Amino acid sequence: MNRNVLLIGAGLAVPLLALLGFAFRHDPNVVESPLVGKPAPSFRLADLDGNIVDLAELRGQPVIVNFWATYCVPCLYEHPLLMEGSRRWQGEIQFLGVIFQDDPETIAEFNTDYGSWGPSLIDEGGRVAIAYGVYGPPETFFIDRDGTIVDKAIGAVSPDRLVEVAERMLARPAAATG
Amino acid sequence: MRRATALLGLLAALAFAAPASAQESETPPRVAPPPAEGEYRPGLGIETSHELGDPLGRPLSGDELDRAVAEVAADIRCPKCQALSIADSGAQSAQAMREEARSLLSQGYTREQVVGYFEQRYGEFVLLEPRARGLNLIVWAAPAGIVLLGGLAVALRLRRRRRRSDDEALDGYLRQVEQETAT
Repeated sequence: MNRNVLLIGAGLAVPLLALLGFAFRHDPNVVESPLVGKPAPSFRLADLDGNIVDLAELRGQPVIVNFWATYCVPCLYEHPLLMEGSRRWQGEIQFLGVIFQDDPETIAEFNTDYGSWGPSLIDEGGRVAIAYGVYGPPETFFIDRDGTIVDKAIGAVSPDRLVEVAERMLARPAAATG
Repeated sequence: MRRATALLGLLAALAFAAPASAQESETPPRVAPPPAEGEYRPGLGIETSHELGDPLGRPLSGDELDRAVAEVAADIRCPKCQALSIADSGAQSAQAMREEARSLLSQGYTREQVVGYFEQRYGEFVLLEPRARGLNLIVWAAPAGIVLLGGLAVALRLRRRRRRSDDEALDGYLRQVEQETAT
């Protein structure tokens, strides 16, 4: 009787503990993007001055697209890093900021006060954010020369991650297109 | 080695950067100049047909469109909320996704195409009801499995109890027979 209870208890507890152990190895706040390894959704957006940026026209050059907002603390935290990155890889990697649910005027004031690492693009209706599956700012998409998303960072991107992915993108030549 | 050098350089530059001072980026963006007055430019945003392919249904409007939007919205998780559908959430993201669903359905995309579009972008996590496949099958099968196991345990217990009471009744009868035959 007691042996049977023990066996049944173990039969239920072991798979449950295994499931919990598996789940605890993953950060529940991180949802893997299904877009990594796939073509980056193409967009045409205007920046704060009305200039149009067409992602398709940047093909051949690595692009870093960062969804950000001034109310987002991690965005402010990573701002100096993106400033430095855009300077370091000037002419090699295009940095694009997509404003995520923020007021363009507030963004313009922020850029005046703290500097800008790339065009701040206005995403009317948040359709580009939806196409990129953005949960919340900051999220950074790394797009290689072929227009493929090779990596995505959720939250403030770290210096080593930025360097690692940027150098990986720069080292890889564009695939020949027919 | 090259990576380590670049990282060290970046960290050093960050350490000496003056964060509060205004620093205009010198990166010249490869952008088109603002449109001249009267110049036609194709729409801004995302080219949905490029992302989704051709619509497989018919364009919806009026009450039918409202119903279809409500059905799709009830199945999609709000990305910025805890276990709320975009139909139930007032978050700006949920509102934008409802508007996107409305726009797609009005263009003739089917409910399956629209739900599939959100799933392609956000992953399966965005579905409030996970698809019954792979590891998800555990979620679907577990309740039925637990009920079955519980039922089996109760049945075994009842059977054992009945057998024990039958044995006890038989023992009493045998004792009585033994007593009567002994005298």
